Amino acid sequence: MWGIPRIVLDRLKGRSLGRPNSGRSAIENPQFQHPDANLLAAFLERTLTERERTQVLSHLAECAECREIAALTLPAEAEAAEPARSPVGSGWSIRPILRWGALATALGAVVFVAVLRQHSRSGVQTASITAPPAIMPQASEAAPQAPQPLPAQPAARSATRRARAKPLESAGEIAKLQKPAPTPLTQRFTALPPRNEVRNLTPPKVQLRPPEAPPAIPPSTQSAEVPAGLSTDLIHAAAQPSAVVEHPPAPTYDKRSLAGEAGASTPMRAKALQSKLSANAFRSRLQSAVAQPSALWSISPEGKLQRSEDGGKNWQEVRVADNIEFRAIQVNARDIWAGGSGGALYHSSDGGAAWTRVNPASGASPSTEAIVSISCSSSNLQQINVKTDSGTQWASDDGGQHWRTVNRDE
Amino acid sequence: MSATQEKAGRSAMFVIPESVRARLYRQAVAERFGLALGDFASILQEVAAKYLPRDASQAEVLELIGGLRLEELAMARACARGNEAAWEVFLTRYREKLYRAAHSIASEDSAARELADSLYADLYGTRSADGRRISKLDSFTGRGSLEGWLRAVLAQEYVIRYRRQQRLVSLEEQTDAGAQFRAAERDPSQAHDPRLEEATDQALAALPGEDKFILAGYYLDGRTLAEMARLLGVHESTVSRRLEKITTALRKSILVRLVKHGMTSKEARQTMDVEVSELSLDVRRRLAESGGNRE
Repeated sequence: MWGIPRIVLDRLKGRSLGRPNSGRSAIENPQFQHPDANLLAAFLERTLTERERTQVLSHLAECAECREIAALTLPAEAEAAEPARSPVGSGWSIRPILRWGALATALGAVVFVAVLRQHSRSGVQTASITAPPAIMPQASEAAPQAPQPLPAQPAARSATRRARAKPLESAGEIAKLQKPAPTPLTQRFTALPPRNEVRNLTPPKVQLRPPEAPPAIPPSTQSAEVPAGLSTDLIHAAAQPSAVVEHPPAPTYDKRSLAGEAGASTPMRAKALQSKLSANAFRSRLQSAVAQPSALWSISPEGKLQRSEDGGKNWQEVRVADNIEFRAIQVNARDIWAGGSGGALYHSSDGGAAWTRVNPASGASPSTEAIVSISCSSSNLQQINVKTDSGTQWASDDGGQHWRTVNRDE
Repeated sequence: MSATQEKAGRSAMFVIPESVRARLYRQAVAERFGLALGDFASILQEVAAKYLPRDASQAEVLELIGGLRLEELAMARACARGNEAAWEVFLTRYREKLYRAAHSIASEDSAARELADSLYADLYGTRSADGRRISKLDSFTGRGSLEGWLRAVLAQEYVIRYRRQQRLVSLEEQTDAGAQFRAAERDPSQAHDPRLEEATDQALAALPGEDKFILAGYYLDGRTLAEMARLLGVHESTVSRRLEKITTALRKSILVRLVKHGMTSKEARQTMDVEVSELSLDVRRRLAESGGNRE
């Protein structure tokens, strides 16, 4: 409770139009101009103009009944977990990103330890197995796969638990979270995980940078979702793999692997060298994976798709179909999905040159509900999920060939 | 001439270029719901006239109608005209949501059902004037989502019913107690120095609407920071910071005005300190009485 003088409350009460204990409904009193249900809904959905919003707020400040109605109009918290629109310019807290960042950092560190140990294992016979053999090929081939269960996960889980239990206040705390995951790396992951799943790309329009190459790091955070209200810049950063690492990781070796390299017999040295070369190849692949992609995609305020080939300086409209207001876009390299009004869902598999209309409501008449979200599983780019403004969801597991309706419970 | 065309005709007529009308008509899939292009254009005119001044520019008109929930608007208006296809879509999409919303508003099962059923009747349009069915859906303008509008209408209806009920109960209670003619007592705690009252009124009047809304919601309505944050669409910590900033600025502003009204700085500070400590005691007492659940 902040020190507010009693008189302020008395005078505020005195100004109130609908006094809770007066027994008279201010809503029913024609003397007062109350915002109607349209304006209240638009106010809560933040779709009013600034002038209208100011007027509604001024009224709400003095009308207890309208405040009550506005509060009742808010959906229950569980329903609000998936807002219809992204808040415009909301004061989105830094805490959620720190929390997800910490989780991603911890998981990223664990995965990298596993990868590096895998290298050591191939070069040094004494190296202990710390990760399933499947991890290294996945990483080196830069193909996103379903996350494998890692023996080191408990460390990540405990980091996750701690991150959830206590909101992180500073970058120092993230560093602490990294400690439980032992890493021989001299350079650590410090930024966000790669995320292909971007939800609710409703206005304000969001720019997506297509990853030219799939992320080099196994997407251990595929279940991470963009928190509601995430600013467009953050979504942008989260969607591109260049945000994954601060520096290209320089592979280093733990003491056992170095000792093995120095003191082993010739065949063992050859193996160690091969391992080192393989690590260098891995580094170069990682560097190429985080290289700046060429095309940026976004949706204009008029709901048109647009593309930039020069890092966002100039934008060209990409004509897909007339009379469609696009509201969601999902870019996976040259695979682009875009959806919008009237149930329009379009797909291009050649970077936007040719588009095909897709009807996810297979077997039924085409849906007219506006598509507001398209997401793609980071572990399997063939898994597409489409959502409409009224909450209907369809999913495809084969890149859009076949669709099924998703139950809300799934 | 339809009711919508009449309404649009009576109010300001805004020019909506034919190409835009046709584009929005297709975008709204209005044909599916049996709305002709002319009818749809009249609805757009009516909505623009409701929210824009007569001298609004064409750019403002286009911005407003471009931001409408066109498909929901077309469906709602078609429902109001009794179009079966529109009702089919409406019931599929909103029936369950409407009952869920009524439950979250009224909490109690039977009250929630009654609330939702009565709204259904209004939406369908049971009342008739001049032989015409009047549906509440005719007042949906597409500024926000149809779901949000339905929730707001339910909430309004609930508050009106609650007030009516409270009025009846309190009148009965007062009659039983023979208190209905008793003169209103003045709360002694509300007696303040007139200079302080004036300074406070001026300081409050100078606050932006949003700041007053935060103060009223938090201090008068007893809403939590989380609730205020959801109402404003910002994070809880933002509301917390704003509250601290507003109260600090308000105190300063009142102090300055008290000095202008002839108090010395010391007197002004003492007056404010007394006000704050009185309120703290009062709040602690109220919290103790109500179980102290509030944050």
